[in-house]
Amino acid sequence: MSVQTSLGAIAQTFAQHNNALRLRKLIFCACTQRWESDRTRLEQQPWPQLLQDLYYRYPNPEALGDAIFGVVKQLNRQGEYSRLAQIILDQLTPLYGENATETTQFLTEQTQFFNEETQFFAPTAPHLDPDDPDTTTIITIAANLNAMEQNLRMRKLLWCLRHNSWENDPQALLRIDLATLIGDLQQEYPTREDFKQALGQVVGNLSRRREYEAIAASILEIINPLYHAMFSPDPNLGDALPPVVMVMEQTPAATTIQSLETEVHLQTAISPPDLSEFPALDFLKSDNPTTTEYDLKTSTNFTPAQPPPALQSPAVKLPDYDRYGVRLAVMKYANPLRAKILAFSILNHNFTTDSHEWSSLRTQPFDDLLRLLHEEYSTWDHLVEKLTATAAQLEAPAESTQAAEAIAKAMKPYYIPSR
Amino acid sequence: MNAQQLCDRYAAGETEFVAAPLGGFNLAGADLIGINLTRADLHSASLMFAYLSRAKLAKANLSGAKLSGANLNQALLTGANLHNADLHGASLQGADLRSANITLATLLDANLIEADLRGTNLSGANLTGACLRGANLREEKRTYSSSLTGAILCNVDLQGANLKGADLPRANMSGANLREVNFRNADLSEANLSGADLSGAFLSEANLSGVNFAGALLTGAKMERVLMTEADLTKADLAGALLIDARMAKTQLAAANLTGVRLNRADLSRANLKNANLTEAEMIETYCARTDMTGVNLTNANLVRAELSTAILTWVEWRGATMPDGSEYRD
Repeated sequence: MSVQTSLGAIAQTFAQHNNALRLRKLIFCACTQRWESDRTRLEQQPWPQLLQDLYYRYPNPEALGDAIFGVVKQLNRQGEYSRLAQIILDQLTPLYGENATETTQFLTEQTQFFNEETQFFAPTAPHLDPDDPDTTTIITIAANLNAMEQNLRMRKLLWCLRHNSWENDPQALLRIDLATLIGDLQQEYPTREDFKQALGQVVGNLSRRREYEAIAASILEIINPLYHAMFSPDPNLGDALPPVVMVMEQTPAATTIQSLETEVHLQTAISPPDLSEFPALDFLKSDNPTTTEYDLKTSTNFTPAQPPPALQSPAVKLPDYDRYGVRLAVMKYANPLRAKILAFSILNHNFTTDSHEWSSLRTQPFDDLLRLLHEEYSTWDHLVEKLTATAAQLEAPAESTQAAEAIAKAMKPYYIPSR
Repeated sequence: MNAQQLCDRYAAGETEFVAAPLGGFNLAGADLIGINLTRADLHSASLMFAYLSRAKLAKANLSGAKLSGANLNQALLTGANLHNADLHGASLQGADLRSANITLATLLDANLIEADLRGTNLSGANLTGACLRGANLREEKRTYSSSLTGAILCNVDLQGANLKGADLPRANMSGANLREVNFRNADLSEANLSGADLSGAFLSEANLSGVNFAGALLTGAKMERVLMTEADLTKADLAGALLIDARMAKTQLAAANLTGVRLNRADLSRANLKNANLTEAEMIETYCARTDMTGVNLTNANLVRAELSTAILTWVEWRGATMPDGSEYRD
């Protein structure tokens, strides 16, 4: 499908979107650097033309993401507009992928552009030669990863795999040069099995493990050609086999991969990497192993693995985080200062009332600390675990525990209910 | 009597300590629930995390006292002197603070839910992040009104609070939650309300001259007869707001959303309405002398008897508008 055809299809989708006017406003501002509220003016430009302007104005998803989110940052309703910005980015990103697949000049062009325009974006690695068949494969893989709906989460996983640290900032993630990252990972993990094991290990340490397992499966599928071209397929892993049902039983110490059809049972003891110094990583250490089943397709046409239903359409629609509502709910049932100290202690270090930290505490608004807690902990269970543990270590543990309960209760509506 | 003796006597069942001299005492964390400290001298005392719920502190001297984290829920603090007191993260839910002197006090992240603050003087107080839902700051008489002159109220939560007739000139309420607040007849002149949420607020007859409303949300606000000269409402959202008889001379309304507003008899002379959206606005007898209406959208607006003869009307969208003479606009 050509870029023009795709833009036409996106134009139709956007025109029928519930928030079509806000989408227009965002795109208009990203193109003209001017915020326009007048509906008539906004609607003067037909959707396909507007999208075309946007697409050709920004040479890649990274630049587009920077521009769109840059606009959002200046708005009042940032939550609402962030979601719309993400929709725009998700819709247009695959088009850049199509472009990359169409031409092997992709990398060279991008490198030139960034060198001229800015040092902000990561330049492509000098060791990637666009004429090299391996590099072409990497570029194709990067484009395919980029085209995925969950490409931001894929970037998170791949970044963690390479750098042993978890990156949450969408802007930073979008700046990652995927081709370089994949090239580096190929060198670090010379076989598909090495890659798969390491990826499984990262996923096993995440709190949203179920969701990330499906994403990891998609990554494995997409990077297949990287190893297919260089190494013989591992018969145990079924590269040449019919679809395999893979059961991952993960504990912090071990990963079991079981192929039911071939009766091959691999058990690999893995020492998890020490990631404790990275606070953004979620460690939900459960004694009960989680079992996830999904098809590991062996085709090389980059058809993404079918994500679990939860990923396709979220069953639970979460309300927008209401900072006033959360603060009110906490204050009603707990001492505001104890609750603030608890939130501060989790996000920084344990606060002691006889210390000289009062000024630091005063400069951090309570609702900011609560919002940061919500952002930091991706599951309610994990948040509760952290709140309880920290409260027990503070002065006045009884009151701090009460504060922990109040915070947990106030935040619960903004988390997906645990199964 | 020293702090320990006070605590011992209280623990033994004594609760009456009227006019007790307790200045500078260290009573941090003390359990003094329901104690009677009427007219007591507690200046500069440390009462951090003290339990003072339902305590009687009427006319007590708490100036400069450290009350951060203290629990003063339902305490009686009428006429108390809390000048320069530190109430960071204190809980004052349902407390009676009528006529208290709270000038220059710190009420950062404090809980003032349903507190009675009528006639208090909060001038120069820092209420950043405080929660005042359902609090009462209503004016009793003209000479007995709450004063919040120069108070810092950033991100404050006043949803549903009653601030009728309150004095809030130059108050900083940026980013505050002011949904459904009653500001009827209040003085908010030159206040900073940028980015605040005032949807459904009652502002009738309030003094809003020189207020910074940039980017504020005023949807459905009741603003009849407000004095809003030289206010900045750039890019503010006023959809459905009631602005009948509003005095809005020299008001900045560029790119504001005025969809469905009722501006009947409002004075918009010399106001800047560039690129504002006035779709379906009711502008009967609105006075637009030398008003800059460049690029405004007047689709389906009702402009019967509006004074537009000296307004700047270039690039206006008139589709479906009812013109001053009662006729429908034709190309």
